[in-house]
Amino acid sequence: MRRDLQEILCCPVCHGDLDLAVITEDEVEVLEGTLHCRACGIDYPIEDGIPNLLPPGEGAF
Amino acid sequence: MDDPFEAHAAEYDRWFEEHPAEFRAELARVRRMLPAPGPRTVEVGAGSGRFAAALGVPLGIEPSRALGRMARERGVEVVRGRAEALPLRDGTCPGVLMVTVICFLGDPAPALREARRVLEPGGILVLAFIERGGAIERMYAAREGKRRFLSRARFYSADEVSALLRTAGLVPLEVDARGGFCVIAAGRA
Repeated sequence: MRRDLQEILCCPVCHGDLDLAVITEDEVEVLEGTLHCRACGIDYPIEDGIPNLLPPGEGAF
Repeated sequence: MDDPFEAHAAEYDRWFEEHPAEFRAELARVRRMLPAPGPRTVEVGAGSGRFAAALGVPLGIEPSRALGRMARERGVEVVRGRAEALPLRDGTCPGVLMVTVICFLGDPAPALREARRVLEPGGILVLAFIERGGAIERMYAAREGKRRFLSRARFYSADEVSALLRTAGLVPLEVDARGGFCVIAAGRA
């Protein structure tokens, strides 16, 4: 996930802002990390460069 | 969860290699309707990224992990998400593309409302779908092998989709219905 993508992303539940926490990144993008919704108290994971912003409870498959 | 797109992603993706002429024709018809993609043009239900990559659409929303990874390998920025609950801010996208997506939704209405929400003023939604009762639907219905993906599909006529768009606050601007595949460009009402 490129960092500038954060400007247009929001929580799929409340449409609130997401705080980016980076675990690993390369020169291009964030590879592992989380996008945190303060309003909902949800951590959406970023795995292998792909943020998982499925509504909670739907990310299992 | 028994999701055929997750379990059979490679099989789904193979269609494009086995049907190059059909894919090229659909691509040309979608390209004609879609404004030149900008950095925030998005494909919702991007699948394995075949359309987005060929059209230069930089961003794809896709629920399936397996398909999303394929799209990413094709150079598309992928975010896992649902058409009915897009993780995108209001009014951010100049173009929203949905190709053969509404037939797999239990109810297309929430997804169309979401597409409208994320469109910027003057933005264009391009919706492409297999028409109910059209040549493509009839052909697939006769081929058992294709039932894996289409067995749960629900098809609509061009008029039905136009009505769904209007209910969602969108106005059809152009309708190209030929050969059982329909492409509609719509703007915010």
